[in-house]
Amino acid sequence: MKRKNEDLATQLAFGELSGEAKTAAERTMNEDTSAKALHAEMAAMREDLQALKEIPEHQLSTERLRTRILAEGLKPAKARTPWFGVVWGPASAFCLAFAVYLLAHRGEGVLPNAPSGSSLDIQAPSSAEKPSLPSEAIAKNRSAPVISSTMPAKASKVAVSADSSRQNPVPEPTRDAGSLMVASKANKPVGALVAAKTSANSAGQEIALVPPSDALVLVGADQDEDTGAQRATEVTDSHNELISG
Amino acid sequence: MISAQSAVTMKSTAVKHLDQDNDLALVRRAREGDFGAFETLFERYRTMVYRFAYQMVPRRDDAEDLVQEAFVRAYQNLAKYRDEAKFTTWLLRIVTNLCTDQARMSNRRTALEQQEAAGALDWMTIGTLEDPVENLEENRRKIALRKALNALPSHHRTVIVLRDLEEKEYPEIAQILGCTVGGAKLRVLRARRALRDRIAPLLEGRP
Repeated sequence: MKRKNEDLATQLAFGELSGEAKTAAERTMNEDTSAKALHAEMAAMREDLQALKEIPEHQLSTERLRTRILAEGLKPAKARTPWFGVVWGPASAFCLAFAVYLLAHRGEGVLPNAPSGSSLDIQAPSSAEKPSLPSEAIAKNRSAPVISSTMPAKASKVAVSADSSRQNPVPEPTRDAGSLMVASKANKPVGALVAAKTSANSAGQEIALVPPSDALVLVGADQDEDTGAQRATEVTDSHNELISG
Repeated sequence: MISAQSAVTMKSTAVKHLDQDNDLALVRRAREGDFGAFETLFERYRTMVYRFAYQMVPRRDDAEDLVQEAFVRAYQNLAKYRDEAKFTTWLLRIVTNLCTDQARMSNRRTALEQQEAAGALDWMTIGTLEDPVENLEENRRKIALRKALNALPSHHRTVIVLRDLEEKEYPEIAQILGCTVGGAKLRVLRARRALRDRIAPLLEGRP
């Protein structure tokens, strides 16, 4: 039996043909006996399938569903707004392109599109400016900062200044208001020093920011045995230093 | 006569559109958090979904669990429902997926259960003794057909239930299955052939 006749027999048995197609299929069934037999089988199967339509009554209850949904606190998920993709798609593409551009120009020292007269050459610091010596050696050779400290009596006061230029005088430490002074002898102007006074009285706290300098003084938590003040260490960079609050 | 018939057709079409609009309104309300609207949808379609689920899984309690799970999933995914499709189509698609998942998971369990019960079922369904009572014979055939239907792969069973038991139109079947109308027709044809191969001994002895 041809596959086409088989399909026709099935479709005819399940009543899916009409008009001319039905007449042609019936004619084919009369000519092809095996197709006719298949048609009879399929018609019987269809009849049997009708009997399966009878099903037992369900016991579904709205309360059961309510319990499941509301008791578990289930909620319909929020739909994504249509503009989400429209906005974030191009933005992501732009960021990616920018990142690729930066990576491509990473090796070059000249900023792109800068005027020739004002081109900024980014160069690595020379070895003279940034020696590869340990921080202790650097501390000896360079002008070491003067660190003086007193025991805090009433309230702590911290002031930082540079010795080379005392354009902005920093108050001297007093005994009644114990203070820690960190001073750098590096030839850096103190003009950049910004101080914020939170209180004018002795009980207040005076905070001064570190001026731009090559040397960085870290004040540790451990105390010096002689003076009882917190120990300070000078480093050139903070790459290997752990700083925490 | 023709005008009366066309009037009936128009009326039924109008009712269908009204139902669909109504479903859509209920879905929108449910999306906004009105659980009562979703309960209305549940009460409206639970029997339809249960009928389909019962044909897909052999036991009533399993079918009921499936229906409940389908409605829970529908509730959670209401935002994904696109308004151009009928709510029932979307719902049946969820049930179909659930049935497929369950069939996959319980394949082994069912096989074991069938092996255990094989002796008893064979005695009940393929008995050699001539049965004098006609309705008993009919019942026997029905059980055998049900067994053959349940033994079909899930994808074949789904299309037979949709087309031959639930009498869905091909475009709707295509939407539920996520395929073309031609594809749906082909699947139905193959599924019928597979079922016929399984129950051929039963059909041969039939007058």
